[in-house]
Amino acid sequence: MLEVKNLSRSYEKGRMVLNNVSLSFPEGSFTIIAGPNGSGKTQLMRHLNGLLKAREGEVLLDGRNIREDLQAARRRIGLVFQNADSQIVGQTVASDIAFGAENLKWPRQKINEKLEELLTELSIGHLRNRRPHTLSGGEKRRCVLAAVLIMNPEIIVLDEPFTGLDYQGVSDVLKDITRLHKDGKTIILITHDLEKSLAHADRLVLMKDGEVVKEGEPADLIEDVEDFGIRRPWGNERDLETMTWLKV
Amino acid sequence: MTKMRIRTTVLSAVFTALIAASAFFTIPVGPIPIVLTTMFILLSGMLGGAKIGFSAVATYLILGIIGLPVFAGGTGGIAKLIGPTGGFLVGYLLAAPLAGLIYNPGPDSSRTRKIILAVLAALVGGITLYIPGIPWLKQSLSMDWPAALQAGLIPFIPGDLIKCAAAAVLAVGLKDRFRDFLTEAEEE
Amino acid sequence: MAEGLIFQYTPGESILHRIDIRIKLIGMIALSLVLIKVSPFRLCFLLPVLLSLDICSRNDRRISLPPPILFLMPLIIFAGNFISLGPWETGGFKPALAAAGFRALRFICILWMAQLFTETSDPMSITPAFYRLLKPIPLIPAGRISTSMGLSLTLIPLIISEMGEIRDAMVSRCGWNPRRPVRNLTSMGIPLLEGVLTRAEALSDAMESRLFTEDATEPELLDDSLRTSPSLFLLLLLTALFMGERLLLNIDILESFMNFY
Repeated sequence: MLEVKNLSRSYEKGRMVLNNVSLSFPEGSFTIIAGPNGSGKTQLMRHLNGLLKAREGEVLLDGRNIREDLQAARRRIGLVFQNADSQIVGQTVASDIAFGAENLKWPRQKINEKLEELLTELSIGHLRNRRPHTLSGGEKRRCVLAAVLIMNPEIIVLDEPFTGLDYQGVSDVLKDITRLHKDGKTIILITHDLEKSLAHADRLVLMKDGEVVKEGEPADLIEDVEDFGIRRPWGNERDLETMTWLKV
Repeated sequence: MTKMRIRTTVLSAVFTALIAASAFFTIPVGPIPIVLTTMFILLSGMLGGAKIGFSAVATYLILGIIGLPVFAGGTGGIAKLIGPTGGFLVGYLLAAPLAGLIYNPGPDSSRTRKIILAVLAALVGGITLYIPGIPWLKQSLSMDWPAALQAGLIPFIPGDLIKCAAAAVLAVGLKDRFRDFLTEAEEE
Repeated sequence: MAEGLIFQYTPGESILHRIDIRIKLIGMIALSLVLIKVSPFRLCFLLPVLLSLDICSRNDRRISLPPPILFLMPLIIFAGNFISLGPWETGGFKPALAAAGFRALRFICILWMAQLFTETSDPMSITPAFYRLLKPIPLIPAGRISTSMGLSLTLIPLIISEMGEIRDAMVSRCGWNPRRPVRNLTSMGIPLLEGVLTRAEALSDAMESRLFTEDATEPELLDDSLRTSPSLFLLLLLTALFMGERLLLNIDILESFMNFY
């Protein structure tokens, strides 16, 4: 269980980036954090694994402050950043995916086994020797997802994973996310685009100007989202179940 | 692995990539196209500081020595380093940290002070490139001094002045951003 | 994309492809050092070696000429040397021609080696090989150098395409004014450097999240690469060269080591 308690952060000029944010993410939950640009979603994410040090408040993993053992927290909480290109460090898909495991100093054999497993699981085996930057948007996104998954995280945080992807790309990525959720991983999805994924979430958090303005079940909140600068998926009588781009 | 260490490594790699990429690129600046390598060499020191400047250029030279085509005109290999123009490559290694040492204004320096330091750093760095370069050229092609200067210095003066001026302007404008990137890491 | 890329890796199964990259690196550096001195004997000795290596490296066993641009530089060097050495200095037309010719030939040799190396070495395995090469040397931060090399290799194509985009965007906004070169450069440099810094921020975040450390599991090298026979070959080649020089030209071996230019 990951918890954020009374987290605040401000720029020097006094503007609040995060204002007293408290949230908890129970094991196996699927949370969507939505909010317009500049609402502090990404800054919140950078606190979750200690990239930013909490100045006020704290981030707890299983009741313990993540700063006590940052290494372990970072292994258990996988962050997939928004820009796929700038998180690729390897020169081939395979070497990029292996990077995290190499840093954990696993023996080569174990790395290779896990790598094979992931390549099959995400069906990207045919890409293994490609240069990551020459991949299509959806392939690239799955490559960075695999790079995080190799460390076997329990909690996966994805920042705007659908930006710039075509229909096929979105549904491929969405398929992976829902499968991971089904396998028991805790998913935290940061987006302002509810139409593509809301059907799969069991909780919705709305943020604006660094504050959590509403949280609860997606069905209860869907009518209010436009008040906070988020577009409600089209159609007034529309069922929540249809808010996905996944082919049924 | 501290945040600071990661950030210096990444920044140095980014500058290496900029320097190497610029070798493939000719820019139609004035009437003639020029290659921007020296401008990025100076900037790696001025924006990143002496240490990052040195390691960025050193990595660049290593990439070239092992044969990757990153030197001007898409050539590479140790031959280039010990060939007639090799002295200029050694000059790169001196120019970047030197420019970085000279241009190191504090966060509260006045704008005039910044501009003076930046111009000084760019000029000294620009001249440093030639100090090992010209004698090396003269020696390896057994030229006399006037011929070496004619071949290795005079045609490049106008282009280099333009690049130094641009480096100074960019260094003044962007120094704060780059300093924040590095000092932010110290706080966390 | 990269307009100047003459040398490029072409996958293959030849002997040169299968030789351990470290030995190729050492060999290339050793032969470049041998060629610092312009000696007709050394050139005559090495040219056939390079030719046979070249034939070995081709999958179809056919000699194809290198791209014409490769002949441009030697030509310039030849002309430059000929003019600067001049018949008046070397005492005659013929010696000057020969001296300039040998220098041009040396340049061709060196370019040829570089081409053979890049053509047969996968750039992705160069960094790990380099790491293994540096690691035993004390005081050299092998981990940091090879990390930094690997990162820049990943970034180079990205930055090249970014530079192209910025240039195109400026041209479409009529941003080039031939009379104001400094302004052209700065207005191109600002978006480029800002972009690069943002990229550096994102990259450091990603590396930190993925627990980057310099003493990670060592990179993998191909196990089936050839090691023993190529190193023996290299050793034999160098011995033969120095011995031949000693016997034929009566040059002391020690002296021939010291003899530059």
